[in-house]
Amino acid sequence: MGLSARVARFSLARPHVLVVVGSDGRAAGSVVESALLGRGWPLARSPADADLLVVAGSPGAELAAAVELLWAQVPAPRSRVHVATSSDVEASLDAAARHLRAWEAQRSDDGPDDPWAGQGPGTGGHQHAGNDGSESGDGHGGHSHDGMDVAGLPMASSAPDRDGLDLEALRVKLGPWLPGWPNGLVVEASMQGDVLSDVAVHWVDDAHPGTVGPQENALDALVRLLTLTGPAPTLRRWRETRAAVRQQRPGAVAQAARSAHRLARSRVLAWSLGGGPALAGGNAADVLHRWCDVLSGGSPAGGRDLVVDPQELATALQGADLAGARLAVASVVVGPGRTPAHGEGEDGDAHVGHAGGHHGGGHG
Amino acid sequence: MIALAGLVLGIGLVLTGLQAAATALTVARTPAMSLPFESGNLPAQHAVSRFHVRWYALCVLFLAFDMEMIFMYPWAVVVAQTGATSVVEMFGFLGVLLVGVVYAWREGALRWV
Amino acid sequence: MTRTSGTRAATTGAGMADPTTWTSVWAGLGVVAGALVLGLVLAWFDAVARAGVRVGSRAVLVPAAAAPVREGMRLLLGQRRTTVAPDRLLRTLAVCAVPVLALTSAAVLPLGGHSVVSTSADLVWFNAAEALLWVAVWMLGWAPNAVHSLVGAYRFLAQGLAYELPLMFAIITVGVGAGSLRATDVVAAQAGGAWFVWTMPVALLVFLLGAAAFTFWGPFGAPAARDIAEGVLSELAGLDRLLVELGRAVFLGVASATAAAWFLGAEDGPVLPGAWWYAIKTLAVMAFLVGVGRRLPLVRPERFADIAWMVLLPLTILQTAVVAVLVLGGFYG
Repeated sequence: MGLSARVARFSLARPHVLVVVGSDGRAAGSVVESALLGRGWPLARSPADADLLVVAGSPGAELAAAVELLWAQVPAPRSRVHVATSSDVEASLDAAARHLRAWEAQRSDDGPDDPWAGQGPGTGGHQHAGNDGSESGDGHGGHSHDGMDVAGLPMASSAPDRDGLDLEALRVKLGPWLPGWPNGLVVEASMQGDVLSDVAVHWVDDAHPGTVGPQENALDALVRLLTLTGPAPTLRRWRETRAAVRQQRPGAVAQAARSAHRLARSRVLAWSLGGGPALAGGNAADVLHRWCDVLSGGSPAGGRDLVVDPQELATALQGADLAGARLAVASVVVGPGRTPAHGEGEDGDAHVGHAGGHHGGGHG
Repeated sequence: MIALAGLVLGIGLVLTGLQAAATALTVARTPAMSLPFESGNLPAQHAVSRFHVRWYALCVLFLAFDMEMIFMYPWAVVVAQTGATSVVEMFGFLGVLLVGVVYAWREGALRWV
Repeated sequence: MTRTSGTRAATTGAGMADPTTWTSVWAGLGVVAGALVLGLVLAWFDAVARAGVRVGSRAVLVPAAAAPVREGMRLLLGQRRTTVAPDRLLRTLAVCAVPVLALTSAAVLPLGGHSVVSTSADLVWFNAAEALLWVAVWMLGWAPNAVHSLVGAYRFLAQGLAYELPLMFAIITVGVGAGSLRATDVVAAQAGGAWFVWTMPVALLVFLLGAAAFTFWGPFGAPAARDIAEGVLSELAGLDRLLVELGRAVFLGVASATAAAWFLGAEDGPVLPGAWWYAIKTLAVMAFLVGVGRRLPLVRPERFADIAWMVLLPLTILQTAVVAVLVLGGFYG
């Protein structure tokens, strides 16, 4: 065994894991979560930080494309595993870890080389690849192109901002995967500096991950918020609490109630979460407080008032800064909405066209 | 001076040593070509653009103070010799700047979200 | 509380007997090695604090203590990563600048009445190394041509506008108290238990806060926070990421040792040899910094600006004024 293989065995003993949960993957996802907690494997914060990609449940077409793209952004050594049901989690993780540390195999992997991997002709937006001529004009929401394409991507065009200044507006998408983000939610927006405008919200593959009880909603929201703000030991304790409640361990619910009581009293945390956009009748600090009430049994509504419609979310995020928007999204539970929120008339097509048109020309 | 050369040498050794170790041990010597991370989406545009810096007023305020700090370093050395006058002058000047800070705060220059 | 001369402080110092050592190449190499050790020790403290160890739970403590070495090796083995149309020059410069600045800042650490680079403006040297991080971190965030990274870069600048002035006032307060900007004079002025922390507690706290902020660590981690998928670090992998993480840890470690020297009198202390005192004080500063920092939630720059300008800045100016008056009264000898 060579030196680097020895070092690899030691250094990859606790791989960083990027977990993508499909709309039907909630059960498998929570088993993965408790397995990771038990093994002490940290969650990856970005694809560049990841060693292991775990997909829980069966993703639809749009999420599957996102998974391919995320996988193409993970540097070697890397390994991926698909966990369809909750029964094969431990064995799958073991197999993935073995593959990760199989040094000779990793050496020949060489990692991703084609940045557009998984987005080749025929899948999703890349259909427009050969279609350079149609670049300017249709489906761009009125933004004109200045024809500056570098490496297959146009530069951002300008638009008036919320204060009436003419500034460059960058089209961005948040989700389906981000740390501390509801699984499968996608927020599309224009960003000027870090201020969001022109916001649209939808569920990936138009598939809402399904509703759960108030307790689980509260625990999910608290873990999301603490993922964004920390402190790290508190986040770890709440992830453990959530896992215990999900597994219905004796005393777990009472323990969660006590912890919630303590968390609600933390004034530093409330200050840290404050100042963002108002959603469900308050900013992230207020919403955290109300989730804590749900857990400690002091909320008559049981958190139903903290479930917001995608449309409502989109409105609240208009003009918010990125940090505030992330806290707002993390704090609430986003409902399925009446219909797919972006699918009104030609708007839905415009989204697809948007993404496709802009990177058209691709890597050539 | 020779010690400084040693420091530079040491820093150079750290950088080249890590580079050499990485080259020898790494799983792949060519870097991974990747699209920028955008939550699992294709980027629509280049991210580098004129960024709307909404705290520009704060920058101006900062510059005023920063210039003042440059005078303060030499002042710190001579304050014992020059006596009370220099202390009164320095903190009088700082007081004027602080009035500016309070004004900027009241005008909302310290908040940009 | 009388001021002693630099030479006396040197003889009570760490027992660096041969003065010619300090003019040789080995001094520079030794300081680089020492700075790396400081960074490693700090990373150990940090890993243990992050795991949220309850006292005596070896099950968490042991793996946490191995974490910095393991993570470092992991990055050394890992593949580097590049994005579409990045600014390669800026990335290379930034990735090297972070550790280089961190190691450079160790050059003015006073050790036994000497430092590797002893100038008449050591305090400015440290200040300059730390201020140049503004450029380095901004370049780091700009270079990959990625949106999260770019947001992180500008977050760092916004944070800088808040922490930099209080930090500079804290550093200047030390200079006023010592009547000199030379690090060895600062230590000499504190001989015999006249540690600056007794008269400059605010400056010490603000100095540590500034150190956490310029290494965007702990509660000041907004430029590399999870809400922007690690921001300035989000496109870095392999050696590139290792260099930046190394630089951050070393800078925070060196800043802890610097705080021990500037505010706690470095080697000054009874009975034990000076080097022991210096080490104990440095470890105590690290334990305090990490213990407090890892208990606090993230402080967003837009939330922090208010406090920095309206509370910390007047407080540090008041601190400088108090010290200046004490100097006039001959308090520091």
